[in-house]
Amino acid sequence: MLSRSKVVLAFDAGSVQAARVELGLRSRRFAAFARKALEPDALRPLPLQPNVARPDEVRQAARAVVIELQGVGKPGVVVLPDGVARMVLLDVPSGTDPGDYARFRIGPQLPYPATDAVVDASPVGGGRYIGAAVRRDVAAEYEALAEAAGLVCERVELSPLAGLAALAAERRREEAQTSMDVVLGEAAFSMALFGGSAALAFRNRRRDPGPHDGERIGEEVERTALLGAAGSAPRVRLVGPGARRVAEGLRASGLDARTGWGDVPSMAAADAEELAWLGAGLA
Amino acid sequence: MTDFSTRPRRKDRTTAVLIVAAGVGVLAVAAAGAVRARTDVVAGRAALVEAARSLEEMKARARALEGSRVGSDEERLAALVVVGRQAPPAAVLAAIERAMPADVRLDSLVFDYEGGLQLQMEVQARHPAAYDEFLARLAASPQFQDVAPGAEVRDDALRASVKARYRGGR
Repeated sequence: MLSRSKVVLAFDAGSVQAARVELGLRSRRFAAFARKALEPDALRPLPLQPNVARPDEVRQAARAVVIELQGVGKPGVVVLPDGVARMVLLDVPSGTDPGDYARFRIGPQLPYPATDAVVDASPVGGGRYIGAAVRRDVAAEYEALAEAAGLVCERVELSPLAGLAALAAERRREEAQTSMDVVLGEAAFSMALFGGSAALAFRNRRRDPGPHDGERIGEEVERTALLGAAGSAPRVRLVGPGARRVAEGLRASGLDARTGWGDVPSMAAADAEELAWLGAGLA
Repeated sequence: MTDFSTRPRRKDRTTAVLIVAAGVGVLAVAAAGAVRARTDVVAGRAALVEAARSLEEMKARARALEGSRVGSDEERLAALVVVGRQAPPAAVLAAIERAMPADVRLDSLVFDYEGGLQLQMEVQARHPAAYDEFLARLAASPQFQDVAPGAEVRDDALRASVKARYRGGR
């Protein structure tokens, strides 16, 4: 009786996906999923230029998944794809608002006025935050798509930040000395290296669709792992499209690589591990 | 939890709604308690008024009972008058005389009208047998009851006191 539901609507380069999340007092579960593929270049997750190249197509896809989940008029969370934000690992001084500090640090680096950016920060342990700036026009494009689909937009999240936040519980459970979380998007991917519970490094790269995409991601993961303690190979966890394939390549290279979110309520782990945006419903 | 919304959004108000609902619930409980307390106060006042009224009634009854006791005294006096009228001394003396043998003499007689007519007699008999006969006649007479011989002094004659209740009649 005290449960309610919300819709998580996620956009990425190749698809629009959504899930209806049932929220109880002490639990949450994924009740339904929907996915609509997009034609190539209908949506391009970019930080500076307009993202929606073919608005009608993307709008129809968003509308279709929301209707399929009976989510019209329901509160929803819009998940922005990796590739639209500039992200930086920050040491936030104590007593400082992380969002304000992120705006202070990232603002001058942006190729557009800082006032045109929506900035927020997500904690990643050890007093560190990942600050992210999304161009206001870009965020507004996705908000407009969600509203056109009939969703009551409550919040706009960024897929890699939501993913890393959701993986934090799994990280604490595994208690690895050095670990790396990799959140793969369809257009870009993010890697966070942790020493214990504190973030040591964060990197964000664009993907290069093609036959060598997996190898290139593997190389980036290995390069990021070098930023940790010498002689200590991290345990790698990957989520998002292609996670299984990249993990296999990493394991072939001798790394301890695994996939998935851990225990996802009412969902097969094999399905969940390929959905990077799922973090927005788990966190 | 981050938010990259471009404008302030309608936030998830479930928690706020729950808090407000809890507040309303507490308020309702408090209001119900206040109403109940108010009702108790009203009921208490009513009980107090009722108790005061009962007390007044009891006082009134007590006064009435006092009055009725006064009435009883009057009735008692009236009864004494009635008894006096029903048992005039002459009739009583005549009844005693009828029960008295020739050898017995009545020296004194006290009439006590309290609780009917109580007689206190002092008699003198020439010999005990006459006195015994007098007592027997009194006891047998329907005009007397509760015949109780008192102290006796026996020398040449017999002097004794006798109590009896006069019932009246012939």
